[in-house]
Amino acid sequence: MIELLAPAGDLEKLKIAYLYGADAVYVGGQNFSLRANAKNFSIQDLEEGARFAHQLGKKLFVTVNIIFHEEDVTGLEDYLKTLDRIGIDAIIVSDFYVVKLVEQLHLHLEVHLSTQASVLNEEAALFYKKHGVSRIVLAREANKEDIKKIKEKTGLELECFVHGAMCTSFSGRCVLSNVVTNRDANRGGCAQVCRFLFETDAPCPFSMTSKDLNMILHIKEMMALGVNSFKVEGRMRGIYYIATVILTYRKIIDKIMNQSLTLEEAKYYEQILNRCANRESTPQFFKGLPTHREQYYLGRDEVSNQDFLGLVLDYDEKSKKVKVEERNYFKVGDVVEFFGPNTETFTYTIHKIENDQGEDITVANHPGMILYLPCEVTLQKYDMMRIKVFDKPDLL
Amino acid sequence: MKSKFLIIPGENEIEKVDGVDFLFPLEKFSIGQTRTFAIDEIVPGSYIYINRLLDTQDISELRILYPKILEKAKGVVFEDLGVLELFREFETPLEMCLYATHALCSSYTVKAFLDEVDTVILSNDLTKEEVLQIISLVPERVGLLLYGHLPYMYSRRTLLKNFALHYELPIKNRRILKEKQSGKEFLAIETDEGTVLYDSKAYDGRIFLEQNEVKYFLIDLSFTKISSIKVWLEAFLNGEELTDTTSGFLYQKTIYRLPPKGGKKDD
Repeated sequence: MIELLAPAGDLEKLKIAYLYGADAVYVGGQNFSLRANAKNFSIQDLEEGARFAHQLGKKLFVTVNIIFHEEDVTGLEDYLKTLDRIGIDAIIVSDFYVVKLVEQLHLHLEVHLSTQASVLNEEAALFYKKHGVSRIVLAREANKEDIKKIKEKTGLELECFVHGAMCTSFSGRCVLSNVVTNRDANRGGCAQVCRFLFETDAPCPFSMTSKDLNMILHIKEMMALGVNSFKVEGRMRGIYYIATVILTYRKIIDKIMNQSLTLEEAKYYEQILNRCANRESTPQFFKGLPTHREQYYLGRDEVSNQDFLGLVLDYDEKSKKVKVEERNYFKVGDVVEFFGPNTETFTYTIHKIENDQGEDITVANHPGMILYLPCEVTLQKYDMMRIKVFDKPDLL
Repeated sequence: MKSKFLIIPGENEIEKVDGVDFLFPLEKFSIGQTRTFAIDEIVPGSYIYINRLLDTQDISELRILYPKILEKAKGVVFEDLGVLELFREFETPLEMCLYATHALCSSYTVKAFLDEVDTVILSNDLTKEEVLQIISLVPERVGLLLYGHLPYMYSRRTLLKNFALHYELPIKNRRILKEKQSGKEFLAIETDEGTVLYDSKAYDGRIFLEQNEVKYFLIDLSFTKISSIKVWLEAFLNGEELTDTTSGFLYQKTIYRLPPKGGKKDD
């Protein structure tokens, strides 16, 4: 089984993730989940999300991944039963109490062990397997030898992060946020203190910020090692990021599966991913211990990305016009690209822009404004328009 | 029940003290220590400390080392559940004590783990009330840190070495790091196996000394240089005042949901 697993912070992102190629999506409920300050999903949202997923033959996972303190346990049992009743496929857990509780309650949902539990060896994986855990989300620190051996010795489903932000610490082994900001990292309040600057006895500030993870060039090798689920980080990310990253990994995985991926294509996809990220990315621990080159040293070193120009809301076959919701500034004369889950990426030069009054305008400079562009190519709702930066290899 | 003291000796001289068991950080398998011990250096009848998160290679090496550990130790204090599972394969008679630094925060979790291990040491991220509640609900099989620097972060990366390499500075395996906005200071210590950030001040948990239900009181002397453990312990237990200590989270309840704009933190 090979699965592309996407994050989603709300229902719109969830639908985008599925439409752009995710086989499964993981989300947080309004309780018991890290990212406590994200919008997260109500029970009604989860029901709708599960329905949407199952109609497409896909899966929905819910994170129940906080470390519980005494006061947090109230309502947990009912919550788990509700998740089970509404058809959630799996929960992602960190606290061993939740693992045991699901075992005792004889629920149908699968239990996936969160990366917060930092499993790096086959024996720890076997411990959890005995308690009904069907899948391990490996620690991001696992290298390829670890992955191979854990798979061989346990036979468990393995899920690995392939893209997105990294903790500086082992995930779950850090309470710097608790100390510095009073926000509990292991209950969803992490303030990312590892991205702050520190003074030391050296003349330059100390920083331990990690670059991001990007495994795009190693997916084939990971498949061969026995990884089942390829997980993208980022429940707080926007729809453009999710669409771009998920679509790119979808294409890579499919091309690997049908043995048609070339190095040239892989490099092109890597460029696309690098462009939509706001930090540099590397394979991190996969081939061994990261060096000083896999970190930043001056705190947050992030680039704001304004490539996302518009979201397609509709396409009128009669008038050959696409209805677009503007997200970032563009103007007549710009060369852009449209892409989508069922739309092959193509280049488009903007010759004409109409506003929602039918008037011609030359610039789109109000995010959220509704615009119409003439386009001969049929587009679909949820396709996207972005700045064109790279030439796509002809063979794509 | 009479509580026992488990002491990590640090760089201090080992001496026999009544009511005390030594907890020896095992070379290569422990992290954040000022001194680790090869298996042959460990005093027979002691406890062995394995607090690293172990990869598959480490597990293979630990498997080979197990017979020697069995000869030397009467118990193992560990963080990685792979240690438990591996030792179970040997049907180990050793006492297995789980010290999951940040993952044992409720009586529910403690009870769940006590079906698997002999004893646990509570996480250090709890308030005084939380500690008291847990030890009242799960008496006699729970230990507490009594003294030592609180570990706040554990990374597999060699952060100090990387910093030095980046700026072409001399490599140090120990530094004080000060977070600029809060002024909080951390003691960072590093080996090839990773970096640990501790509170720069020692934690003093003597308010719990009267709790008879506590199985172990852990004392970590890694960063405390003394002339005699016996003399220090006697003074410590007799209430000698220590300067520059911290109470950790005992009186600092953390939050995890931000208050709405304009609201109070306790909303």
